[in-house]
Amino acid sequence: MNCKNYQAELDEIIGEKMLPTAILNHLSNCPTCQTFKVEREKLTLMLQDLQAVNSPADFNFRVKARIRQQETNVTIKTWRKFALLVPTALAVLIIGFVLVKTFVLQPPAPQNAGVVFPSQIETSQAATQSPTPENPALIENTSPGQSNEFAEKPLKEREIAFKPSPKPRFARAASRRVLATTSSSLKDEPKEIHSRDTTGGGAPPSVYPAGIQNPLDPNRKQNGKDLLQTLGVEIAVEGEALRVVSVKENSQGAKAGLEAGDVVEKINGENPQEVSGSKFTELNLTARRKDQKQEIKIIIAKP
Amino acid sequence: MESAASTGELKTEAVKARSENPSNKIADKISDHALIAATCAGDEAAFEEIVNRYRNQITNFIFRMLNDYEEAVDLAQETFVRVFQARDRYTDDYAFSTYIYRIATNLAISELRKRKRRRLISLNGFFQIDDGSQTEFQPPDKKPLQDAILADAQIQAVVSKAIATLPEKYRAPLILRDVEGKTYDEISNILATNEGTIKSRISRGRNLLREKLRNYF
Repeated sequence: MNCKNYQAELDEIIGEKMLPTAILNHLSNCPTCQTFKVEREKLTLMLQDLQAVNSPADFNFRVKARIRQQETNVTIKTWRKFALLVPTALAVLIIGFVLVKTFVLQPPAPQNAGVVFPSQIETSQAATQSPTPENPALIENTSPGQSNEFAEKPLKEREIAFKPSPKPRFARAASRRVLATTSSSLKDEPKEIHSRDTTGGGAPPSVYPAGIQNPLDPNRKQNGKDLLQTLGVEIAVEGEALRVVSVKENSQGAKAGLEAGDVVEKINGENPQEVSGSKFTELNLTARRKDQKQEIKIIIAKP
Repeated sequence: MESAASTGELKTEAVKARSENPSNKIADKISDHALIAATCAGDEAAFEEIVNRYRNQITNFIFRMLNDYEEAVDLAQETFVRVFQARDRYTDDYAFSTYIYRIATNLAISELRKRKRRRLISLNGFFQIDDGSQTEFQPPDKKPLQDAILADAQIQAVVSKAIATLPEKYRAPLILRDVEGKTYDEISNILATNEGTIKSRISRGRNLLREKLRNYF
């Protein structure tokens, strides 16, 4: 063992009266370790002689007061939590009630305003026109496929089968179509627009109120008078029929054989006042000329 | 149920001891564990007995750690408050003195670290290097120190200041060993550190202190 080891051991047992013999033997021969021992003893004595500091007289009282204060603080904190919880819970309840009342308890918002459901169309048509059984042309001239099936269904089933698209999107699409028609009519190219629209697989649900027709609806009703006037024929309404007042020379009407005094009773087998369809390539007129009925076919030349 | 019954017995024992002997001679014999158990059972007097037993020791220990009497008293009170609040969690794995000294040490060390963060300027600060890591205590008195003339109070003040300038890790074990007279085993339990480490730190602390107080040897 060297001095370092002896000093470490001495450091551990400093202050003890009885030192191990090995250390005593080393100390008798090593002045460095002797000095170390003396210094250590003196240091320990200085530390042990430090005057002990006592707590103040009211120490116990202050401790008790502090404990009580802490307990009070804990209680206050707990109540504070509740004090915050109660108004929060109330606010949540009120907000929840308002939300439930607004969105759940109230009847659905009038999102169908301006939208005409098939049932409504049916009703309005029934009111203005002859009923379907009496006027089979209404069913016959609807677009093939879905429309016929639709018409055959009972009224309630039709309503259930009809799923209207969300209003804003649909309204935007319809307005785009109207704008397209207007602009294209200015360029005199209505056919492209019509053909594009009609190939979409049936008529879209109407967004127009009752009484106003979608100009792009392939099944929409057209006034036969207007239709014939585009063929260069001046028309006068005579009851449900149309009477030809005059025919322009070299007009399509003249070429088809229409003459003044003819009374057109049917166009394409329908009431001439309201003709179904918007895309006409030919018209079959049932006309009466001097009490003689005759069929006149007018083929509309493509521009 | 058993624990409740035993706690009740302990409480009765502690109360009886104090009521029968107002001078607290018998009460002194009641172990700290029994007093804590009685405190848990709601006996405030038992807790007061604990406070009476340790108030001076804890105050003195914290004072040696901080060298600030007001703060030492404050932290000593806080120590007892913590003991009271944690009375239900107390286990008798260690001696109660170990337990309470550990709380006091932790509070003192926390305070020292707080002060370090705040860079609190104290009287000792004039003798400290700014970086704080290796603090050297150099008394400005260049005159030869005469032990015979120097009053005991002055020596004690210098020693206290010298202790207060020791690094934390050396200060706590040194005070516990040389001032409080704790055994190495107790110190290692209080500081939750290996006994070998404690011995080594005490030795280094003494060396540092001897260097600081070399003029007094």
